[in-house]
Amino acid sequence: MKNLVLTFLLALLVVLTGLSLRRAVVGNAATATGGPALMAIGTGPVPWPQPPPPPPPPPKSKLATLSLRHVVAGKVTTATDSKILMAIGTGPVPWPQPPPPPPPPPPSKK
Amino acid sequence: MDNSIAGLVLQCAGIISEAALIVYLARRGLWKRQGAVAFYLGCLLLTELARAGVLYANGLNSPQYFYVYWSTDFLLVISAFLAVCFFFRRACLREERMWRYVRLLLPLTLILVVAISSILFLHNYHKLFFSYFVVEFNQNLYFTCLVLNTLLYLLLQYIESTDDQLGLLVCGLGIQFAGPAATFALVHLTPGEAFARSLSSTVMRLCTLGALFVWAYAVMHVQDKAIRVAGHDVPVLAEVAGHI
Repeated sequence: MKNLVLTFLLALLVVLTGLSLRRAVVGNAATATGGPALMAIGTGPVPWPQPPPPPPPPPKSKLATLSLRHVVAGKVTTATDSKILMAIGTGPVPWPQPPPPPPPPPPSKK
Repeated sequence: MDNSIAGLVLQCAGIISEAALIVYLARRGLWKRQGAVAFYLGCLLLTELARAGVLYANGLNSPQYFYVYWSTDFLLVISAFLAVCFFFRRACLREERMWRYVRLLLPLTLILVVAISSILFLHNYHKLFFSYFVVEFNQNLYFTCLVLNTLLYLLLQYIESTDDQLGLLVCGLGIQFAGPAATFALVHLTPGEAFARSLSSTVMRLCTLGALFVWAYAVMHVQDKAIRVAGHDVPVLAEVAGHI
């Protein structure tokens, strides 16, 4: 019985040493899917596990609104384009004014 | 390198070396005396042929090659573990008292590796069985075999073994296990995934070739002293397999 316990402890020591060695050698990439940190035997090319595909992007909740806006107002959707901005209320709509034209160049003094 | 001519040359060199060594053992009638070497080489050759067939039929990035490669890796790591067991038995041929401990130690080690891999798998049960448990088990058993092989080498020094051939066979396995581990340590210190993959893949394949060449030298040119001195001409592999 004593021999069995000692042998079990020795086996545990061997296995834990192996696992610690693995962790020390390959660092935090010591997972089954962890890239180029997997040992293998043989002379054939190694097929490294591929990382899982990235999750699909979340659905864009504003997509329908934007599309409808694009359909209704066309591509002229900037905030400074006049007469194509929706508003709520009964008062007159102050359309955004286009930027003032640049001042004329000063007349040359001859 | 995987798709280059050098990669193809490495693969062909491995297959030819394994086949040549098996033919040599068969022609010299060394099947029984070198049972572990013959068994391991047979597994390696079968594996390499299967991998090469699937690789050239489906390509490197195909799922078929991925599954065949890592499934056959399971077979190889088990056969490597059995080879280590056989070498322990051969080292303890005249040390029966020590063998009593070792023959308990080896199955317990395998059971512990299975248990630890299972526990890790249960904590990640949502992942695929194959891509997690099998690969995780293979990796754990690799590093355990590396420790066992180092212990065996120390044991050979401790009992002052005169079996030079066994010493070289153990060194060959040491190249197979320790070479990639040293490369991983180097890669871990120098970040760069593409470089790491290329270097690891190349070194692993070179280590397999190196182990084959050391074994070929040991079998062809070094006298098999232990079996003659001890007078054991029994298939020790069967005995080891019986204990496990």
